[in-house]
Amino acid sequence: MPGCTSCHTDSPLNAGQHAVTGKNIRPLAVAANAERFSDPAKVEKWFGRNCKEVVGRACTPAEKADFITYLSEVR
Amino acid sequence: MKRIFLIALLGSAFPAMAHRLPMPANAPASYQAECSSCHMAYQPALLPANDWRKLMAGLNEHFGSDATVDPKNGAEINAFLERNGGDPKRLGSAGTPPRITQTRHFTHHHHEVPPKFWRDPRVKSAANCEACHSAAAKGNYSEHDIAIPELRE
Repeated sequence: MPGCTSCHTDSPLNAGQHAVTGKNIRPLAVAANAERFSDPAKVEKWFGRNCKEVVGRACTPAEKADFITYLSEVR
Repeated sequence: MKRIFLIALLGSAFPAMAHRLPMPANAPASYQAECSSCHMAYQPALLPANDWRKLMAGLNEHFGSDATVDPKNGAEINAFLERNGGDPKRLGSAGTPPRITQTRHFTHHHHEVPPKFWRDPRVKSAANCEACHSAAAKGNYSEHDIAIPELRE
């Protein structure tokens, strides 16, 4: 199973690269990418896909809240 | 004979024209939004409609990833791909699951690319058209515009 870092690097402030296709991925941190978490439907879609792929199950609401809080504040 | 020579001459004078593959103007916004987050939004002419149909039916296991889209976007993307799919006779078989990179059309144009180029970290995958064809998303696949100079031959 891939980790978050497989595509997003070990710093959320960095641009990443899709582990399979090589496509560039803009940074996860809001400080580096103001569009992050601005579209709720998109946020849910990616939690749905990536939690399944990385954690092997759906993420809980508390986990999602922690994740967004961290990425909104990290600098 | 004269005519064949003229055609050959025109072909070499305008090589870029042979490698233009624009996105159809009626592409729905959902096609870009949904497909291009993990890879380039490939021009629908790169696979026959029947293969696009197979791909769209298996998005929950799309080359190892869950790429499901909501039903409304799914229907819109399906209709677009079916309307604009490529010529199956010209493209050749894409295999199962269908891969653009397995079509005869693709292999014919890339047979001279050595394996180490595909493994280059800047390329990573043959699915990553833009690594070499930087304007691929705009439909420019001319070999004169290969983005990585040492991979240009």
